[in-house]
Amino acid sequence: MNTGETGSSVSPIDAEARLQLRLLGLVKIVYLLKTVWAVIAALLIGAIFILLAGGNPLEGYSALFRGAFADYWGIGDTLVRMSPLLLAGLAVIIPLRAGLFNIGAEGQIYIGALFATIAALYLPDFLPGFLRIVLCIAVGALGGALWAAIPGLLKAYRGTNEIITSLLLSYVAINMIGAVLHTWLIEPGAPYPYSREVPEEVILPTFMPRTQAHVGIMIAWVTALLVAIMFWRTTLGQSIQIVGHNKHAAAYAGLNVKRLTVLSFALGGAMGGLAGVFEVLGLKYRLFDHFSPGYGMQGIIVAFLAALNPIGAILAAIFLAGLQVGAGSMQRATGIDTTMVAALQGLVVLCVAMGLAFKFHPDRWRRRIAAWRRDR
Amino acid sequence: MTNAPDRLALEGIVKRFGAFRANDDVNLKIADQSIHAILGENGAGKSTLMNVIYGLYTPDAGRILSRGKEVTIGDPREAMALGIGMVHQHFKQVNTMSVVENVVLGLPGRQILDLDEDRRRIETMAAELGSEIDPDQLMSTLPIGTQQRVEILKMLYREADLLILDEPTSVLTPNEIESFFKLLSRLRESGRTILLITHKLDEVMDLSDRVTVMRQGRVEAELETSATTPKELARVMVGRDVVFDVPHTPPKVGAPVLELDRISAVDDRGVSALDELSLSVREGEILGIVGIDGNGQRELAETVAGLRNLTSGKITVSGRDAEGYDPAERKHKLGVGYVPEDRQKVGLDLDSDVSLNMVLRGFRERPFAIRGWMDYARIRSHAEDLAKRYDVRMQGVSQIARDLSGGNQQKIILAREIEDNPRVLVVSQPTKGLDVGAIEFVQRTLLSQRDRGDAILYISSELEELLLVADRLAVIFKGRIVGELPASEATSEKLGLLMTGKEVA
Amino acid sequence: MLHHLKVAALAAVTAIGTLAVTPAFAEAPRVAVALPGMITDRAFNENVYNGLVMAEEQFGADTAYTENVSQATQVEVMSDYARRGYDIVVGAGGEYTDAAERVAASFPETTVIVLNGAPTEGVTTINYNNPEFGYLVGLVAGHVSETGVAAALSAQEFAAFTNVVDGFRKGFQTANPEGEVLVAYTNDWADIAKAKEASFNLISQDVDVILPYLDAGWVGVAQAAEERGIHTVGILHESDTNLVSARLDFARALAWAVEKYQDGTLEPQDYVIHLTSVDQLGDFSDAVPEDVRARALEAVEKIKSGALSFDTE
Repeated sequence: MNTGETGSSVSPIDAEARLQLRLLGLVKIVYLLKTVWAVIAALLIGAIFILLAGGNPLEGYSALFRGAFADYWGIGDTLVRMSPLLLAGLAVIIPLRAGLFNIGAEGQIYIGALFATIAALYLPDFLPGFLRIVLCIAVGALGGALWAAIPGLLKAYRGTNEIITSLLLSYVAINMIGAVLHTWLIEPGAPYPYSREVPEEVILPTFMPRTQAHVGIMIAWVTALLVAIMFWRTTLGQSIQIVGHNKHAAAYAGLNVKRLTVLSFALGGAMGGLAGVFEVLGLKYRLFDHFSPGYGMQGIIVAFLAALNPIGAILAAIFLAGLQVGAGSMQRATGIDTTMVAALQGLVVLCVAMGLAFKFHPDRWRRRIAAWRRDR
Repeated sequence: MTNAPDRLALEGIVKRFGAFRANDDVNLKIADQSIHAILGENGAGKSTLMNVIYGLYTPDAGRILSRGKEVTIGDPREAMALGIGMVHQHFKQVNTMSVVENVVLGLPGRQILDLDEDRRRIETMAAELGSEIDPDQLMSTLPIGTQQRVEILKMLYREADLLILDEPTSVLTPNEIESFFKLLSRLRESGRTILLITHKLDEVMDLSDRVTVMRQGRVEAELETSATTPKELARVMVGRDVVFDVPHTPPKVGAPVLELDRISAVDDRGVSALDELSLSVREGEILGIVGIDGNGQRELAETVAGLRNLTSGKITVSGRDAEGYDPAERKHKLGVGYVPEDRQKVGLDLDSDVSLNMVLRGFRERPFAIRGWMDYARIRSHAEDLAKRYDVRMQGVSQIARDLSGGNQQKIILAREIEDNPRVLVVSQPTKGLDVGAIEFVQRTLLSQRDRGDAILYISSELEELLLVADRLAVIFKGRIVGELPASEATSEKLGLLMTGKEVA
Repeated sequence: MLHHLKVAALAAVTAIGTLAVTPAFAEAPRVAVALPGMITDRAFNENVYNGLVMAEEQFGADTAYTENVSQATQVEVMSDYARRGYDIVVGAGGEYTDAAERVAASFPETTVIVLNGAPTEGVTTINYNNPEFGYLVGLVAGHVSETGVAAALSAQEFAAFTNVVDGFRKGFQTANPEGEVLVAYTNDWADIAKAKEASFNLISQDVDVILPYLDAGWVGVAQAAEERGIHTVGILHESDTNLVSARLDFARALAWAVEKYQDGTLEPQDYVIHLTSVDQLGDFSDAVPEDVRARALEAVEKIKSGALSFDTE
C-alpha cells in the first residue's frame, strides 16, 4: 500500500514499535519455513494412518529414517534414488523459471537413456573409456534436449500449449523405447525387453564400495550447482527469468523470447536426458523397457518442494529419495506396508500445497501483534 | 452548516503500519447527498482511509459516525449493511459471466435464482441512471466504461447510498469520462452520496461539492470547491507551488534525426494500423502526436522502438536504416529511447528489483555484464546513483518494482531511457495515472532532454499536455498523419476537426 | 468364480525333480520375494505370493515380500533382503534376471531365484515350458472358436510371452488350420481399463477367444469377454469366462524350490517345468464339448510321452 513511502517517513520510532517490528520479523520467519511445517504435519497425519493400520508410528518412522539415512547401504540407495529425482526436478525448474511447464520430463529421461545406450553400444572400442563416458553423457543430454525442444518450438512458434505437448510426447517416447527395444536393441533370448549390457568401460564407477552409488550422483549435484549459478549470476539465467516474469517486458528488453522459450525447454530436457543416462550407465547397465517408475512426474514434486530453487532441489530430492528408500526398509523391517509411504508422499505434497495458501500478510500480523501487546 | 447529520463522519482516525502512520488524526465530514472529493498524491493515505471506511482495515484510534451514530465496521459486509459500497480501481468481477450474474453474485440469502426478476430490475435501474445495459451480455464483451457502470449498479443493487469510487476515471477514455460525470450528477440528484478518490484536479473542480486534501497521511485542508482554485488545491496537495506552465523556451531545432518514410504496419489482430505514415522529428524538438486513441499511436511507437515489424516503408535514425535492429540494439546502437505506454506490462519487469529494472534494456552489455556474467555490484551502484538523481522513492534498490508507486515506476523508466543520452526519445502516454507532482517531473525532464538536443516523439491522449509541452503537433487518423502544425498555432478546435478526419481549411 | 482351492489342491504332483522323502531338519529357511505388482492381482503376483504362503505352511519358512518393485529398485530391494540374512531371495519375473545376477555375485551365500528368468550364471531360474501351456489352451480355443480368430494379450513383448504365443498359435491351428491368432500389448500389467479397451478392440476384429498374459489387467479382459459373450483361456488366471486353464503355477514352483533348498539339492541352474499332468489343468467350461476335452487330455499325454515337444529358443 504505502511501502514506497515508508522509507521517507520521519515519525519517531519508539521502543514498543521496535519490539513489535521484531515480533513481526519472527512471524515472517515462521512463514518462510512453511515447507518444513508442512512436512512435519504430513508426518503427523501419516502417523495416524500407521496407527490405524495397526503399526507403531515411532517404530515405523525410526525404521524409515534409519533405512534411508543412518545406514551405509541405505545412504547408498538413497543417493542412487536421488540422482534421477534431482535431475528430473531440474528439468522442471529451468523451464518453469521461464514460465513454461515441462510435464514431460519422463519422456526426456527415456530419450536420454536411449541415446546414451546407443552411444555406449556403438561407440568404437578404440576410444578411451573416459572419452566414451563423456560422449555418452553428452549424447544423452542432447537427446533429452532435442526431445524437449519439440514442445518448446511448438510453444514459441505455434503457441501450442506446452503442458499438453510435453506430456503427450512422454508417451510417445516411452512407446518408442519399447518399439526400439523389441525390434532392434533387445538382447537375444532376454526374458524381458532389455538391451545388451553396455561395455564395461563406459559403466560409471561407484564411489561407495559395494553399493550402487555411482558418480552420476555427483555429476547431478554439480549440475544443480551450475544451474543455480546460471540463475544467480549469468545473463542467460537472468534473461530466462525475465521471460518468465513478463514476456512483453522481455521483448522490450531486447530478449529473443521465442529463442529463450526453446532454449529453456531444451536445457530442461537435457537435465531429463542426464537422468536417463545415469540410470543406464550408473545403475542398470542396460536399457530396460519401462525403467523409470515415473521419475519425470516426481520431478514436478521436487521442483515444487524446492520452490524452484536448484539448491533446494538437492534437499527436496534427497528427502523424497529417503522417503522412498526408507519406506522399503520400513516395510521389510516392520511390515508396515509401502503403500503407506506412497500415501505419505501424497500427504507431503498436499500439505505443502496447502501451505502455499498461507501467505504472510504483514498488515494482518501487525494488527494482531498490536492487539496482543495492548491486551498485555 | 446544516442541521441534518452528516452521511459519514470520521473523527481522529489513526492507522499505523508499524512505525509508519498511513492515516494520522484524519477528520472528515461527508454531507448527505453530496459529491465529496478526496484529493492527494499517490501515497498520501487516501486508499488507506477508504479501506478503513470499507472495513478492510481497523483503525488504531478514532471514531466513525454514520448518520450521526457511532459505528464499528469490521468487514465489507458490515460496511454494506450501513449502505456503504465501494467501486475499486480494478473491478472485482467475473468476466465469463453475464451482467445479471455479476450483479447477483454474492447476494446473501438466495438459494434459488430467479434471474428474470433481476433482469427487469437491472434494466430499470440502468435506465434511471441514463444508460442502457443488456443484462445478458457477457462482462468480457463490454467496454470498460460500461463495466464500471455495472460495478456501480452492483452497489446500488445492494442498496448502497454512499458510493466510494477509487480513481474511477483512470480507466476511462475522454468520451467515457464525460458521460461518467453526468452519471455521478444523476446519482447525487437521486439521493446518493459520493466519495470520490482522485488525484486529478480538474475532476475535483468539475464535479465535487467539497474537497478534502490529504498529504502524508494527514488532512491538509477541507474546502468548498466553489471557493477554491486548481492552483490552490495543487499547492496544498503537493506542499509547494506547482508551476503549471512548465518553462517552455523556443526550441533550437537542428537536422532531422528520426525519419519515417511511408511506413505501414498491422496491429495484433493483423488489421492495418499504420498506412504509409511519414513524419520526421528533428534534433531539439518535441513532436506531439495527437489523435483519438486507437488510430495507430501504439503501433507507431512500437515500430520505432523495434517491437513491431514494418510491412513496408523505412525508418531511419540519423540516416541509418533501423531495419534489423532489435529493441535493445535500437537503444544502444541507434540511440532510440522508448517510454512505453504500459509501464507495468512492458516498461518494467515488476517481479524484478529496482536495480535490474534500471538496466533492463542493457543488462547483457558491458559494463553490467562481461561475457555473460552479471556484475550485480555495478548494477546496484548504477541504480543507486540513478535513483538519487531521478528522485525515485523506495526502500532500496533491491525492492521489487511492483511495490513502488506509479510515479516512481515511471521515474525508473525515464531514468533508464534518458540516461545514455538517446538521440531519439519515443514517449507514449508518459503521465497516465500520475499525480500532479510526478507529471510535472516528467514534463520538465522531457523538456530538458529536448534542450540537450534529443528528438522527442511525444504520443499522448491528453491534448492539454501536448499543447503545453510539444513544439510541433502532428495529428494521426487511421494510421496516417493528416495534419501538422506548430503548437503555437494549434487550437483545440482545429485539432478536434483533424482528429476526426475532417479537412481543415 | 475363483478356483483357488482347486489350484491349491493341485499341488500334489510336480513333474520335475524327485520328491524328498522327508523334509530336512535344517532350521526354517528365510525366503523373500520381490514382486513387480500387487499380491491382490488374482494373477501372477498373487500366485507367487501363494507360493510364499505354501512355503510358510509346509516348511515353516520365515517369509517376506515387497510389492510394486520398480525396475530401478530391483537390486536395492533384493540386496536389502540378502543383507538382512534371507537365505532365498526371489525375483518374480524375467525382468529380475539382470538384477539377480548382480545380487548373486555380491552375496554368494544367498540363493537367488528368478521365476521365468533366462539361464544366468550363479542364479537359479525356474521356467515353465511356455509353448506347452500355450499349445493346450490354444488347442481348446481352436476347437471352440466360431470365427477362427483368437488373440493373445500382454503388456509387453518379451521372450516368455512370445513362447506362449508360439504354442498357442500351434494349438489353435492344429484344431483349425485356417485359424488366425492376433497379438496385442497394453503397456501396463495392472491397468484393467486398458486391458478391457484392448479386448474390445480385438473383439471388433472377430476375435472370440482371448488369452490374457497380464497381472491384474486380466480382469478387464474377463469383463470384456463377459459383456460381449466371448471366451477366454487362462495360463496365469482363473475366471468364469475361461474355456480352460493350464496354469503356469508359480506357487507350486516356488514351494518346490524351497523344499529342494531344504534338501540341499537346489542348484544355481535352469529348471524347466513341463505340462505333464492333467492336474495342471483347471475345470473345463460347459462351452467345451466332451470330444474337445478328450483331445486336450490326450495332448497332455502326448507332451508327457515326448510325442509332442517344442523348442523354446
